[in-house]
Amino acid sequence: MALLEFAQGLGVTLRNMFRPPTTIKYPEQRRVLPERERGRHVLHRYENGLERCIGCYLCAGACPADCIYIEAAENTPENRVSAGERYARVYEIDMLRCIFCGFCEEACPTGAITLEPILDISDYSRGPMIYTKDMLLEPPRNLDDLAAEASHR
Amino acid sequence: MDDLVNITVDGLKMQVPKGTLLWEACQAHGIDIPIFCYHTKLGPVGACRTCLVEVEGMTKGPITACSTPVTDGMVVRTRSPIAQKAQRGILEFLLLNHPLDCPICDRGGECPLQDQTFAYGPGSSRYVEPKRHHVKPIVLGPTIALDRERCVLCWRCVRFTAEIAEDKSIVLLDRGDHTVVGTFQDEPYVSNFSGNVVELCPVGALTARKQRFNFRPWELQNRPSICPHCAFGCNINISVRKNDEVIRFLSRDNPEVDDSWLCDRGRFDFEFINSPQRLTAPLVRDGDAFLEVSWTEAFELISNRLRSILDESGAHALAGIAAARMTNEGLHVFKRFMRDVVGTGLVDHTPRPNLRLTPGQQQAFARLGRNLMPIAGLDDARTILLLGADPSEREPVMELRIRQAVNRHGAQLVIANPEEITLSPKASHAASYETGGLAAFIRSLTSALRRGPQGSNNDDSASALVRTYLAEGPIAVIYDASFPGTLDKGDAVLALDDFVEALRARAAVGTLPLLDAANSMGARDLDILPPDGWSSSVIDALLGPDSQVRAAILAGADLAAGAGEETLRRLNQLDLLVVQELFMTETARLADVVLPAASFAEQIGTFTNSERRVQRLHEAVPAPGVARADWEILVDLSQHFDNALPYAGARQIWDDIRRTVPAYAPVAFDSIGPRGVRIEETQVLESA
Ligand code: SF4
Ligand code: SF4
Ligand code: SF4
Ligand code: SF4
Ligand code: FES
Repeated sequence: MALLEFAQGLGVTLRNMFRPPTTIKYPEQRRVLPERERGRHVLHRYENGLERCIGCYLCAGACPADCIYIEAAENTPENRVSAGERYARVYEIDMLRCIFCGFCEEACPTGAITLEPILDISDYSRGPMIYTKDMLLEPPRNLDDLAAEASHR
Repeated sequence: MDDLVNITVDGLKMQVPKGTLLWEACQAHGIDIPIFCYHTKLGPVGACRTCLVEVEGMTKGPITACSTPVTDGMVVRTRSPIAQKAQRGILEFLLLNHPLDCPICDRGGECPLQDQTFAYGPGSSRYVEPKRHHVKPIVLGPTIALDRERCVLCWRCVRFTAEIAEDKSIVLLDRGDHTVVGTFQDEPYVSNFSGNVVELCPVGALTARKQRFNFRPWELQNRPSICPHCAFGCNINISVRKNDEVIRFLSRDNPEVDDSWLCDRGRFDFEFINSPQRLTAPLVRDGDAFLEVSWTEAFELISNRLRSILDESGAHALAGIAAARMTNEGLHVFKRFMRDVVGTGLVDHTPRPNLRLTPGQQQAFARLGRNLMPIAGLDDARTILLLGADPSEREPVMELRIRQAVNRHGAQLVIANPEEITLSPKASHAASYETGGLAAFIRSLTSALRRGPQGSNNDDSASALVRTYLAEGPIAVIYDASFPGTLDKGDAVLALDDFVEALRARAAVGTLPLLDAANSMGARDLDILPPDGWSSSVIDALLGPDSQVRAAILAGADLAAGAGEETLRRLNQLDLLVVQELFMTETARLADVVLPAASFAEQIGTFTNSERRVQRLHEAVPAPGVARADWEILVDLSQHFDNALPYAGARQIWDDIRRTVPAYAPVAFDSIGPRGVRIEETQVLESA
């Protein structure tokens, strides 16, 4: 009897030896993530390049981990950053505290912040895990890029 | 009991005083009715109609609760279908053209319009047409910005400038649905009290320009405190953000003092607390530069050098000057350190009236101080007499109290001043005298008074004034304790004292001095003065040409600011200059040791205001770096001497103050509630 169970167990081992591995060689290889995966946040812009975020603190208010820190400021004709009267001068997310619940995304009245399928959020110390606005913000797209994107669709 | 009427609200029977406004009656019994235009300090206008309720028997439909006095037998329904429909309708109207600004609106989170709509309004809007738009924001003046789209035309700002500050700056322009708030011909709105309209505005239409977009209300905590900018002692709330940043000062209504108003200096001058330039560690001079050291190192250095100076030259080689904006606790420990630990009597406070009084004049000055009246007593005064005093400059909110006493309580205002002052147009009588002639003017009044009822029939102006305004009490005499423009201040003190005595023979009279700093009254009561009291000044002893002083401790006293060569040279010559400060002031730059002190917002303690009301400070934010309260610094320094001071906290110091200053004896630290405790005249008399 004991021998039979032993052989059965070994059978499982043998079967799995000939399966292709489930792990991949990250980061050289990357998995295709579901489109709606809630990974790292991205701050978006409008097509005209203005930031969507109006510095309203609603995401910070909704965040159960209290990991979003904002300081707002007023747009001026010389320095127009967002579409409204107000913009986020400072926007920081502590990725170590974020629980990726997506409440910020839900709270946002302008669709400025979304959680994107980006998973590589790691570092060797805590400091760099506080993502600042320049790390979170989409790069401004110029019109050529927009045209190129459109032609790809 | 005749004055009570019976009414029924939502089935609840209540008895309320006759003439009470329906809204107030309901409020007192816990029944909430939405309001916008009504404000307890401004009175009813019935402009917004938010407060509509149904009253049985009223055939004209619902009525406004905020402007209807109760009548006997009134049966009111605040939540009946008719009332609800009316309230919902009005809120829908208010929201028709209201922008969807809540996410970026500074009121969002503490907005009555949001709250009322949530509680009483319609769930959704039926309005699909494009909304009305205005240019936004409109800059109304140096301090205030206006967003016309958000305005609900409640008139509160208009009424404040018309009734309270009486500068009539903010007005309603145009008619009907074109009505907007603005200033006449777009003149800038410049006022000493402009910040109050921001707090009054029930929506985000009026904002303080320097606070726009700085915060969201829900991340603020309000901590009670006292305005540190003058001796009036207005009550404030310090709004603190999560990162311990002070965001704004709000008024914290104390009907006895500020009656919910603040002046702009008090409201907007708080940035020094957050300043990155604050001193954060003890500094010791090293040639032309300063080195950061630990507290112990600083204390050892001070105590060693101080001891050797005292051994060589005696206690008179040390002088100490404390700022009159320090807490009572700070001042008391300062005095005890100087007198009991190092043994010098050369202590003084600054700023203070530069009086040089003879012993006789000192007695007169003390008598004057004992006649102190409560600020709220202005409302009961028949005559308010301003003798060479301009409250608008020194204690601005007193100006509003005087206006209120005149407008609402029928006081007569008599102003005696060489120049026109802000309140002059308000005066029933304005008398002028030559600059420097205050004492002579007062004496003319006194002699007219002394001539008695018959004698004052003379037709000189002083007699006329006495006859018309000083015949009956209560009379409030407001004087400036610095006697600005008067050369012989001692003489003015005598004249004033004599005048008050003469007046007292005829009528009830109280005095209120205008003082220099938030705790000037405390500094007087705690006797932070040289041994001969008001007859000399330690600043002179310290800076005079034949000064014997070799070492000085200056706690918040910036003597070098704007001073001449000679002062700087004297300060530089000192063998030891210790400065306790918030900032690297000009004086601190000359110091041998600079000790970082906590500001009023960073410590527990008390201030005594100019009506002798003791009010509590709370620790709203932590002090920067290793900075400490003034008293903590001196208690720790005293550990390096033989007679170390025993205090461990503000409470303990207060108890010691009660033991040494009899007037303060009845006031237990924990009995100082949110409105403070005023020390009555009798208590001071007993102690004298
Ligand atoms: S990301 Fe959205 S919710 Fe957060 S501050 Fe910006 S606009 Fe507001
Ligand atoms: S005033 Fe109130 S309701 Fe209007 S936008 Fe501001 S927060 Fe919203
Ligand atoms: S600006 Fe504010 S206070 Fe003035 S009328 Fe409009 S809503 Fe009322
Ligand atoms: S009157 Fe004086 S105490 Fe009141 S707010 Fe103004 S400066 Fe502060
Ligand atoms: S609150 Fe009664 S009419 Fe405005």
